[in-house]
Amino acid sequence: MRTHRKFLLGLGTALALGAVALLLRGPRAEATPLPKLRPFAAVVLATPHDAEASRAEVRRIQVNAEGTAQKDALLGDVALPPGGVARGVLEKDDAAWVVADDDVRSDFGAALYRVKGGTTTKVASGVLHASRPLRTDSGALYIERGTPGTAPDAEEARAGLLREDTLTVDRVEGTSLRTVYRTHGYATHLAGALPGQLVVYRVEPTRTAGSYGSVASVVLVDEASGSSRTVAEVPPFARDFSVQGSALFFDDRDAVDSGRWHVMRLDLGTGTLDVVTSRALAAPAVLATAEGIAVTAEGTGGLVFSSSATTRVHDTRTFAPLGAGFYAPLDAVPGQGTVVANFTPPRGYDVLVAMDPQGAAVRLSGADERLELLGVVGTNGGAR
Amino acid sequence: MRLAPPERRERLAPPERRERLATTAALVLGAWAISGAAHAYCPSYTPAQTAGGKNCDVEPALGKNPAVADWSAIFLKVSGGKASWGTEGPDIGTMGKGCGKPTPTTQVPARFPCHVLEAIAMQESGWRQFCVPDAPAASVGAKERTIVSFDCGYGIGQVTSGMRKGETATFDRARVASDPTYNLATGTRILRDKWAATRCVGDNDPGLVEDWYTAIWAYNGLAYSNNPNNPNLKAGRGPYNPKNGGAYAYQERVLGWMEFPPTAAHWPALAPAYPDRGEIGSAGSPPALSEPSCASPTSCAQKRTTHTSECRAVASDAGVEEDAGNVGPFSPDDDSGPGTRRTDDDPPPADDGGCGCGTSGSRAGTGFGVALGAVGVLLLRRIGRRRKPR
Repeated sequence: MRTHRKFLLGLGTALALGAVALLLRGPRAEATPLPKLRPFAAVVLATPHDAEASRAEVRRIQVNAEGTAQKDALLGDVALPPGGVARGVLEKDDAAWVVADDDVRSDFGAALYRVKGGTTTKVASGVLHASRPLRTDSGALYIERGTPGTAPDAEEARAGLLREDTLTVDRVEGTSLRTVYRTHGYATHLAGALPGQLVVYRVEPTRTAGSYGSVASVVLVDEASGSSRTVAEVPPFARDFSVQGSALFFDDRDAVDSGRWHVMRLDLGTGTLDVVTSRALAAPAVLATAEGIAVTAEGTGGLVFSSSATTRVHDTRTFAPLGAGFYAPLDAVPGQGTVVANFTPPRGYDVLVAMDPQGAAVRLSGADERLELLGVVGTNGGAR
Repeated sequence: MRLAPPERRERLAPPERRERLATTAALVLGAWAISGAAHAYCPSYTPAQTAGGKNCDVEPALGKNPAVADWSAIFLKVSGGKASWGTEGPDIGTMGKGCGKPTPTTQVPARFPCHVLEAIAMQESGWRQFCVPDAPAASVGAKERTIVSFDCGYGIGQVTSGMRKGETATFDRARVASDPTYNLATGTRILRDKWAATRCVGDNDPGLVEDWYTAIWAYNGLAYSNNPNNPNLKAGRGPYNPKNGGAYAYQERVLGWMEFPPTAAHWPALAPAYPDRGEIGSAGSPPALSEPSCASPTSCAQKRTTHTSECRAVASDAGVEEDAGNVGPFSPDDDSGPGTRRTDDDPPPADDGGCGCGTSGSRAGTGFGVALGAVGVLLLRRIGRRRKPR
């Protein structure tokens, strides 16, 4: 009997304490609706998480009015050797151009494929490994090709020389190619386009007495004539290029301090270089869009949206919807401000995520595959 | 064509739900990871098939590819250099040790960190000296024989030097095609030559995995494609995980293999340090580099220490199944791999249960989720071990 009373007493005390705890919590906060992304489609290359993966699917993912993402259409696929890399661009929302490795042992062992309606057609070979075709606003398509040079001997290597290759920028015209720019050096990277002109990031060796260095420059190449003009020399660490208006945005190392990285804005008309923002220890990635710029945040990560695409970041909002890690902005939905970024977590696999300056976000990647973005399409078209 | 039914993906969930999803994903991925990978890539070009092109000069040899445990014994032998391999490999010169930072340069017998050899061989050939050809078309249907790439790369080390018509070799070319140990030793000799032809990394200690960074780059070719500042490589890339893929420099792939071995039977995971990419690029080929200390190829915000690496002694009954290991999606989270050189700033090593092997395992979280994941993966590993070895 005494035990029974003790039990009831204990039960009553526990209920009372529970009630007090609920009261102390206060009223439940009103549920705030999460912001939703506006509808758009992303076209991706999907490769399974498998070191021996032998194909990549070209697939469309639709983000619908509820802000969720779902697989939409399979456009086709490309074959890959184990460890091979495939990248590409959209032709339209139902067709893509893909550069995929034929043989991973050759720097120019990739090929250009056109993928549409379940059919994959090989268009060109001798394409640079891991390069991405460039499609201009006028619809022209350009690729990077080349042939490897002779390997430096031991003395040249110790003096600082890398293998010098013959490099070309070729325009795809139906099933044939037309070389519009040719050079000899380390890299002719397709950085962007202005009307009638290609923006090329070129890296080539320099020779001084007894040693070799390298110089990087931004070059404008006339699409029709192939004539070229050097706009500016930059430190040879530049990457993540995007053109907005008449300016080229990219990130690069400081010219002197090897531990300092900048987002740069280069006026392609005047050659004026400005630092937009800077980071220590790790380089940011940047994307300039019509709505502003998106740039990797300092420290533990996230993406900074800035409404300004001039020479300084201001009015910024930072979001990290998948937590700490590196967010590399890749492409933006025209007219929406939505950016698709590749998220690299501290551990684990890459994730493709769409996010906007209002804080809405949706994960595009499944758990079992890696996605490489080819481009995005807004509700009113405008494949990029 | 349409995919039916469409796979829906939910909007980002609250943290607790994401944690549950992550645990589930870890289990699913763990299950996937232990299923083993099929090796489907096996070119085997003959001299006739490359005539007028690369002009390979040695016929592929028939043979049976060694099992993983047999390869481990071969790596143990070859990593010790000439004194260890004797007549089973070619002659090899001494190599420089020390770069005046502070060790003065001296010549020492060539020896190699085991992880460097194992990971290069995985990147080059998937540890294949022999396989059943699947390319070129004219070779399909032939019996298991030497893997020979279109560029006359032979065997596990994909030795190309001296293997083409008109080239002279100071080693036995037929044995490069037919003998796994000889092939690996020949590849190792080429790697030693790359060490000699490139500038110092750190204090140029051949015992440190990380000091081989530039020599590994050169093993593939001193080309700009392997410059970590090549803009075609993935932005903000972490250590290369072969199952994640993406555009990486050759030497980054090799270092990534060290951290993400195909199975635990291949080698214990080792999380190497990377050089600061800000130091690479102002010249053409890599300049003398500081001792690598970055936790990823693109960021030095987190640090790692350097590592030594010895090959594991091979048990006499080492009948290890190829799919016996667990390579989950998460990397070891510190430098607890073999031979880690710790500094006072390092966190204490994770408790590995006293095995001291520092092999892979998920350390991506704490508490119930990880415990559940571990139980699930262990259970699945047991299931996986019942499968027939490939």
